[in-house]
Amino acid sequence: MPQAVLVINKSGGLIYHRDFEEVEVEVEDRNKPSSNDLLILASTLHSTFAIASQLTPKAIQLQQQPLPNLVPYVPMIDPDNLVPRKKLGSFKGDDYFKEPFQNWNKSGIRSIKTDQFTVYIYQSLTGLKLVAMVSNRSDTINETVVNNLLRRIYCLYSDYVMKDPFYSLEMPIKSELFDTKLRNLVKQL
Amino acid sequence: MSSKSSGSAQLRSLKIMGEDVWKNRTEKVNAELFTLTYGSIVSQLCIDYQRDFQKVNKQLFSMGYNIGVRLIEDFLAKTALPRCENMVKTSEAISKCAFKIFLNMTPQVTNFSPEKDAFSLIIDENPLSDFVELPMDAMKQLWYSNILCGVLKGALQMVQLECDVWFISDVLKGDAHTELRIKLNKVLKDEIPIGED
Amino acid sequence: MPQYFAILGKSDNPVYEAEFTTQQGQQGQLQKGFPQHLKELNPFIMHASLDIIEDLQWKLNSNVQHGTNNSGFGSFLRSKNVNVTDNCYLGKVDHFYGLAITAYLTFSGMKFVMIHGNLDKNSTQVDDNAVKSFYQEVHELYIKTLMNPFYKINDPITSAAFDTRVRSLARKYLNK
Repeated sequence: MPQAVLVINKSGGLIYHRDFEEVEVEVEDRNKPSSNDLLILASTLHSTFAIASQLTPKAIQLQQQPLPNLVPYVPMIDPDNLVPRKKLGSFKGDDYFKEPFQNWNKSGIRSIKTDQFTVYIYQSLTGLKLVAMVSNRSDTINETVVNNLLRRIYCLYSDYVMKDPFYSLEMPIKSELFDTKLRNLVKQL
Repeated sequence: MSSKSSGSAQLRSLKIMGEDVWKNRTEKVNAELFTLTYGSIVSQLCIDYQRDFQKVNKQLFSMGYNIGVRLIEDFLAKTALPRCENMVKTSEAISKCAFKIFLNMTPQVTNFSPEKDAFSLIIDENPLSDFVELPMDAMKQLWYSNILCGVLKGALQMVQLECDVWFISDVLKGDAHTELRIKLNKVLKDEIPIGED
Repeated sequence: MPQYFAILGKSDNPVYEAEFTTQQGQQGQLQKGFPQHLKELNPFIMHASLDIIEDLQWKLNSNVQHGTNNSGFGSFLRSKNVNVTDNCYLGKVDHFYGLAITAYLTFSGMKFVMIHGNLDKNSTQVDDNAVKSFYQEVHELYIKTLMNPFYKINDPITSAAFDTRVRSLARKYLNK
């Protein structure tokens, strides 16, 4: 289970943030980051991403065949979702997608590993960034799993945020529905 | 030779993908409910703007634009398509995937300009205009399905393609085909998200 | 046989009217329509029969009261001459000096009325099956017209396509 999920809009603004408490969370004396800290974190991540993309040597970029960009499909079907079958918004069937997919993020940062946690970044073609922070203690979660999770979150975003007629673009996401669905999705991990 | 064959294979796979997403991945709504809802919106707009059809066209376009800038995320979430390198690819993605997924139709792509920056979509069976007969006074000016232009404009803009989209002809006006034109003005290079290259 | 056909709205306002003539345009023969004096009288004759139609509209069918009729819907519609109640066709409702008047009621209360003229004989025979089919198909056309977002209910139908289709239906069922 990731520790946090962030959504960053195309201009680097934080529009959504959700922490997930793990059961055996290590009691530390660190304070929770304030919302201002988070905003700074998001825009820093956004700029670092851009800088890193420039630093990626051209040789590596050119070498890359479409294959390394292909993310294999990892099933993530909630057992509660099958009986009785719940609907996945505008997505028909029991999962949001069922095939391997291309990662749009080719030269930017895909993950940052620290000694305590890893940050994974998924970027859509429109410039939206989905970020997951995963504790290093969970060894079952690797980049492929997180990319699968983040694409599913992107599917949720396309349904519950973009199709909310009262949501104005690029603004913070306050949708309860999106929040609940996202929590349920993350719980499945 | 090899690049050509892989290109055509990609086009075929676009078609298959569009059909797969439409068939197995998308929830449907009743077509008549959709058609009647759109119809009542247009006719209400005609009343609200006191039959000033230029204004109605404009309003439909801007409604479509607002849909397009949102709907593109849905399209990308469902298909995870890579960026199209040129307008030829874009036209295929629009007709074989986008129209297929959202409206279950595959408009014919024709009339490419010599520079390959503009093309036409021939819409054979327009689900928006089932049952519709334009009133006499609206025949000349009203583009009944103008919302489609707005949707395409908005969606393309979100993937950094600044385009003009407009109707050339409409069967509702007595033309032989319903033809929609898309012309690329420029690629918004500065706005392409960093990291794609 | 010429016919005069009209659709009337809920407040008996005319929505559509047409006159069907025999042998339309065939071999340069004269079109046999209603004589001029009847033409002018037709709307009056039709309106005169409206009372009977409205009377029939709310009459309960005696079959239904015994619970033997389980045709489902439309049981409150009653026909004067036709015992079948599972449709909106009222059959021949009235006559006027040898002219027969048939009617059909949609569930929303639109009245389809037709005057069947006669030229040679003194009494008019109405082929119920053909007339019923005609009404039903016009009903479908009418529903399609209603689906047009620019058509307002109870407004006169001006669509040329509707007119052409009704006329071709008349040729098919009434003036073979």
